[in-house]
Amino acid sequence: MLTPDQMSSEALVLYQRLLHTDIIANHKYDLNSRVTKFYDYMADELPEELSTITVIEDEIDSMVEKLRLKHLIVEHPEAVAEGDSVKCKCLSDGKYHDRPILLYPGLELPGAERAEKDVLGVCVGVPFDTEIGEEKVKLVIEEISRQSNTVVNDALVQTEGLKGVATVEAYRDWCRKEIEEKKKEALSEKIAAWFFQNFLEKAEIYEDEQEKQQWAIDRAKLWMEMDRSVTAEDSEKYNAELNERIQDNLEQFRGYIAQIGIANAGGIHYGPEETAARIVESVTLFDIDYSDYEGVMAKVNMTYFMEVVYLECTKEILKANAMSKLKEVV
Amino acid sequence: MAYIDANDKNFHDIVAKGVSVVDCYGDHCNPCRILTPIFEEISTKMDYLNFVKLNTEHNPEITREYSIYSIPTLLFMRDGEVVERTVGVLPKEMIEEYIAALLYE
Repeated sequence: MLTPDQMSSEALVLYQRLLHTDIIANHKYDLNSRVTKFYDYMADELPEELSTITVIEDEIDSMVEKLRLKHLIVEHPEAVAEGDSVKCKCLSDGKYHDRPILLYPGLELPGAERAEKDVLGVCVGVPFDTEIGEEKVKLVIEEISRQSNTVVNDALVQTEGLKGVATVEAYRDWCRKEIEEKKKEALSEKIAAWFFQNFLEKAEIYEDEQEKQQWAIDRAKLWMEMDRSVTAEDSEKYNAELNERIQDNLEQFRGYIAQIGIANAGGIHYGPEETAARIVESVTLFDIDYSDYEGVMAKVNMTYFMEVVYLECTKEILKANAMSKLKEVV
Repeated sequence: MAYIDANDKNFHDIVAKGVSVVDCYGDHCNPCRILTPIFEEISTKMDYLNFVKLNTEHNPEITREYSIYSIPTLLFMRDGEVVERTVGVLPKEMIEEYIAALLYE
């Protein structure tokens, strides 16, 4: 996180001002609700589906094919063969007149089946008669494009300039590692979600009823403001929707407290300084004018802010722990 | 690669002339990952067409302009105008049929 000594003078002015803003200075950062007994989710043994990474040969083949496609060479032969791309001009009157006609012999595209056959063997610049759709047309080839039959060999692999990769076999190993890394990354997200679920079920969490109610109400109101499908003018519908959201939120409060607990255990705690610094960081990131204090404050809602920052921190911590757990087993 | 990665800035220039097939995708979209190799295979076989990939997560302006609410979306365009659009993964043959309709109708 951005610290005051890393801030520009304009950013520092905003930071100081934010620190003394009522809703930041007076926010209740330390809730009575808290994790009373931390559950060591890292001690859990990963289920098989979360501890196995398999790379199949097809996936490696697909990466090698990508390399081949990247190095295709296009030639422009004089006469058409199957598999070529052919750019023609229509010499006849009618709806295709002056329109570029593209033919791909061998693909049997609807409307061009006959033309794809008629164009085979025809040379550039020589007019020929055929049909497009149901219209008889006279076409002339302007250009033919043919892709060379590129082969992935050691020389081609070496053009990639990958360190220590000089042969096709070494390239396949490199592909395997790349795929493994991507799968690890994806798996670590699943493990992080699994960790959190276990923590939520097994940690001991004290929920202060008053804080819980207030959080549920604040959060429901916030979402009603953001989702403008129901407005306060229709009070009956608005209240029904609001109550429904409050009920949902009450169930989610435990998760919110669990996130704070995990973040705190990871050494992260949000107070006024961290909050102000984080807002300045966002202002910097989104290139907002540092002097636009009112504009910045109009966007700050502490219920939302605290939820987002703790959610992000928790995700980060759980994912990092998931990665280190994966290293133990994979 | 036989396709162009477009962005908010260059999209209009890329599709302005000729026939374009645009794959609007997202980084975290599984169906998009299924469509990608199909799109790439077609793009390598058909020269003279603009095969374009647009990452909707990184290019919100074009995404909004063309009302792309679901991904993957394929836009079939002629001279900058959308003639047809499809949502979801399509088999190769069906995509080729849409391209044929664009070329020969």
